[in-house]
Amino acid sequence: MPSPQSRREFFANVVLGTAAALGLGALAERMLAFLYPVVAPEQSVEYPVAAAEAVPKNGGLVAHSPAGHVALEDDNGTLRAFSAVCTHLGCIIRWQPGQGHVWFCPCHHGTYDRAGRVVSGPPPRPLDPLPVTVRDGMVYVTLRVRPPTTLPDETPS
Amino acid sequence: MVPGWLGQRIPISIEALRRPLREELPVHLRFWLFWLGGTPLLLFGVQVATGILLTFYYVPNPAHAYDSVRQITLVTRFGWLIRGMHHTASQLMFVAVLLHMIRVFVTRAYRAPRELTWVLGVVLFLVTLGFGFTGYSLVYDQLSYWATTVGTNLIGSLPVLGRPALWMLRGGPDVNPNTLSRFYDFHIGVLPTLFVAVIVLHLLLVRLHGVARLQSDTRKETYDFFPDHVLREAAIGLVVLLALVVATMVKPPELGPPANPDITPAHIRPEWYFFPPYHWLKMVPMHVGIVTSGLFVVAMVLWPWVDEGLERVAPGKHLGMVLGIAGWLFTLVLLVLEALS
Repeated sequence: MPSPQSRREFFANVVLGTAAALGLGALAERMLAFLYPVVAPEQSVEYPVAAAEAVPKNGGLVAHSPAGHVALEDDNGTLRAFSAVCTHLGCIIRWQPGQGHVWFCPCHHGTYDRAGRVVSGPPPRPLDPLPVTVRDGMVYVTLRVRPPTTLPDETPS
Repeated sequence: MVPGWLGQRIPISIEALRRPLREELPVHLRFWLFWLGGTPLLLFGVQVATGILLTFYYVPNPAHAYDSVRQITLVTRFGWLIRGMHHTASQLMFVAVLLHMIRVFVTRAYRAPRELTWVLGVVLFLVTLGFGFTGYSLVYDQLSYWATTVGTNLIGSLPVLGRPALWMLRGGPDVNPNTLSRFYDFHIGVLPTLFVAVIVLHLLLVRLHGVARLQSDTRKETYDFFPDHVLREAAIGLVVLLALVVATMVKPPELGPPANPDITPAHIRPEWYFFPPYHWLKMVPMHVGIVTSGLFVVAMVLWPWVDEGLERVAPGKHLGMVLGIAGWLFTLVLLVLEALS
């Protein structure tokens, strides 16, 4: 039969157990932190996305820039811009007029009207509107972008 | 003891090695429907073998992934066969796992004290889904890219932990080059490790409890695990391997156009085993779809206790069976609706 644990042994085991739990917990936290990506904070940047004449009268198109996809539409001479990313699960919408809608998402068949409002399907909210201006025949849209992370000059030693 | 030099290095008796082979199985196991548990394990072995071969040529980088798959398919000796077997075995794996689950469900083999065996089985099914999802994302054609986008966004829309989980999974806020290498890591490292660990526990519990007897079968006879049952499993294994090779030759896996992050294709949908949640998400608002899909998975995991609770509420009414069959049928209807859409 094992000898009963003394008070000294009991406290030593408690201290060792606590230290082990804290040490392993800290290690696990750092392992999770290692997996969490390092990303730069968002900035607002104005991008030229299309020639103004490329947007059809009373029509729309999806333009692409390195900073994102933009849905442009002309509504009787008024130019509007939205993020072309469907608010449901992130597919790229397309100009495809139908019953009450003009924008269509091919993934889960969500539809939006000219104001970017949801007409049918599962999208939970309207398209995200984007500030848009026309200068020198080009359409400029302000997008929220994250600049790529840059490597520092020094090497680990 | 094991004789000679080896016996001195591995001090174990031959009797201890023979004991696991001597298990006596109830005779209902002679019917082929009850051999389906071994098939997913065999197919997992095929996946490991063909998967290791594929890693010799596959390059998990967005700039080269698609072309490396083309090279495997079109240039590498028997590349079409190895890739085809890997793809087809993944499809058959879902069929085998689902048939095994349906068999266990119908015979209510999950009842006490085997609840944890069922729970581990459901975990294996979910890991298999993870294999499917990460696997076809690696091909980096249009289906791959957009399935990755939609699937990961689905995780991102979960409350509280959704966003951090999304960033960790993708290696950033958007689908980016890190995403492919992370999916590759999951596919060839994390998920196989998890699968092996869980299947060891699953099989250990099956052996510790012994095979559940059928409620409707009062026969007391048994037969030997070895060689009788092992030969039966081997026979069905050979049929599965033959079916696998023939299916690969008759319908080799397709390779769509390369991934284009600018254009979501007009007709896009995931592999057939994701049809039910995919169609469900088309039918209902997003948060309803996510919450109900989550509840469905929770109900699957907790099914032995749900069934037991229902039996206690209405003894002899078989409410659990009715509810369970309704769930299976509903899933099947969603699958068929998406297949026909």
